[in-house]
Amino acid sequence: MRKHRYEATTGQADHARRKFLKGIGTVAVAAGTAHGARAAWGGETLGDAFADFFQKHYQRMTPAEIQETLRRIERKAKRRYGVDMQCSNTPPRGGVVFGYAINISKCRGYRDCVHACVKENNLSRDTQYIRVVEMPQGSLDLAQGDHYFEGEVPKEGKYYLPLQCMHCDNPPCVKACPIDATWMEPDGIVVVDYDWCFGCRYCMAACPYSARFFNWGQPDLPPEEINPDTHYLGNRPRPKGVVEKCHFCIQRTRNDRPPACHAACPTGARVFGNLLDPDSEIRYVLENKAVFRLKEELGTEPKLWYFRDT
Amino acid sequence: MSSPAQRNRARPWLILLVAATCAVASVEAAPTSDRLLTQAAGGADTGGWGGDWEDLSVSFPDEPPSEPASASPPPTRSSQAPAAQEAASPAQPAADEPPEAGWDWSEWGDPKSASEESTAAPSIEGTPADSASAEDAAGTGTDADSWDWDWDETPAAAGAVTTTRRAGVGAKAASPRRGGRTVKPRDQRLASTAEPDFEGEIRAGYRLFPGVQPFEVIPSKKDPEMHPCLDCHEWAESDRTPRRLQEPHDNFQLKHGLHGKGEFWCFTCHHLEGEGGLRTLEGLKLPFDEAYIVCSQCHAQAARDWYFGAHGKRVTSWRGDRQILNCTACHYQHKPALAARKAMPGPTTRMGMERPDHWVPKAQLDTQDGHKPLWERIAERRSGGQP
Repeated sequence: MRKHRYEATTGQADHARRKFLKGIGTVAVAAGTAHGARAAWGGETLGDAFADFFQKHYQRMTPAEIQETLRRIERKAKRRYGVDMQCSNTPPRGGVVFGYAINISKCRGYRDCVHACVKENNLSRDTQYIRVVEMPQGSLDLAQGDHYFEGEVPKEGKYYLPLQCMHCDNPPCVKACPIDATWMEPDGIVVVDYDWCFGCRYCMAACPYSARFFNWGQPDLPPEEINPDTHYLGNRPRPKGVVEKCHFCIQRTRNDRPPACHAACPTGARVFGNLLDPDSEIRYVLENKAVFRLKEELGTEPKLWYFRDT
Repeated sequence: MSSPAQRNRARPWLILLVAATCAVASVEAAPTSDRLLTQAAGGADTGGWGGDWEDLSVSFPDEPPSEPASASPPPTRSSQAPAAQEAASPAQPAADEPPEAGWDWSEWGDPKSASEESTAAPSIEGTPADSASAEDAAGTGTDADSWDWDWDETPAAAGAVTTTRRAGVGAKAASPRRGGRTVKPRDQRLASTAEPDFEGEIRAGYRLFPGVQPFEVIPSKKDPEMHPCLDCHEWAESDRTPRRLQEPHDNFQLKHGLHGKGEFWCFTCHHLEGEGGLRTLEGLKLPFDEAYIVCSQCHAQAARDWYFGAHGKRVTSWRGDRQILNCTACHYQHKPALAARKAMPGPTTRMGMERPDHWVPKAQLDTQDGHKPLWERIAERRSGGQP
């Protein structure tokens, strides 16, 4: 009886020890080879795992370190999704501050912008940066808006108000971040360093426009639909547990292309451009149209305006 | 941690300060039309508009000159598209330069000068640019009555649009701005040509709306199924009397504002000479890719917004060459109202929560059937349930 119990306990101990040694061996294999299958760091090499851990803030990295980080991000995407991704670090252009204007007389609630944004920015398929709100005509009370409208649009007596990140010039989310994981770039885009963010979500509480989204789980991102043209501060695949937001399609706009929502809009309701260029379309709209901004009384100075045709 | 924080917070203010300083300096140092140049010089990075701004910031020949010596401006051409010009004239004071100096308002509506100009103006039928435009770029143009253009146009695909014709002065004087700095200032171009290209100016909207930036219009596809007129009228005589269309035209429906009520009809906007095309109310013949001139005769406010970029859509890039869609890219010309369409799927709810079939906002619930406002409910509670 006693012996039996002794054997049983030794057996369990033996099993635990074997498991432990097996784990050590796997780690060693992973450290020795560049493509460990299912090792302790999610298939990463030891070097990549260490470099991830010691990666600095984006603004503190030297150019060489940034390049190293970009290549590491590409390797990670190759391992996780099997796609050949190009992660870039296009700097802001001098003399440019981006602004956006949306014509609410023209918006008809098709939500083409929403899904163009999802595809362009490698969003988790349950997240949408742009929310088109169906509003009763004659009201700007957002509490009466319907986010979940369906069917044929536009409906009688309704107008449509697309909401997204306003890229405030006085952004409360940036002030709320305790670790400077989010900041405003020189061209006016409020960006997030997804590797520096640790997911406290203070910025989500601070944002008056509910324009920030949290990755509660691993993003639901179909590998065959990944957009391989990515930017470090933009649409590279995000990890679990970080906050993300609209970044004016930084990978497109810094290469002179319009944002995906602008390119997808079938009614021409969106006007995008450089606020510092007096001949740009956005400046014409701001100077000649009746524009307003949402929750302007908060003093956040949004760089996204709404205007009407008349 | 503090050093990036300080840097971050200093940057926007620094940018605004620099921009404001540049603006103030330019306003003081240069005339209004040279603001761009000054700002380009003040910017730290020349990768912005670069040298193009310098070239584009020239004054128009008809604008009031700064020195009072040339008190007699060149005669204003009012021969083309008078409706759009008249509609544009109330918007003239919005331009940068005040129109008082050397600007004769009476010339805009002077019928005598208009008739002279119309006789003197050369016929622009068969402008060499319009022959290659529509057919060549049919693959990259947008369909007139469908939404299926590729929103995700890449810069490589945009390169295929190079067959587009530059509207306006580019029709006569080729101006390859694609290379960056090769464009000539407009006054030089006009000085180099014997006859100033006033039709081109009008076509490009420079004359109608001073301050319009140069642009290219994405050519539309030719749609022979929708426009089979020339199949018969190449040989059949057309009855030009305005009437309600009968057999064999009864398959064609015109739902364009007043058009269906007999106000307008085919030959209001079309001509059947040669390859066929568009005509203005005055008889100026235009290719299909310049439909915006025809549209702007009536829709003046939309045309103004379109020229300046508040209406319509700029494609390919937000800076550099302005490539914009024609009116007919979005509005089917014979039925311009956009049709209702099914919306794409909306947002999902948070994990684990079911979305109701028909979600009614709470603010509406409170004021709708059975739901009384909060103050009434509080009053009810205090009065012990008695209303």
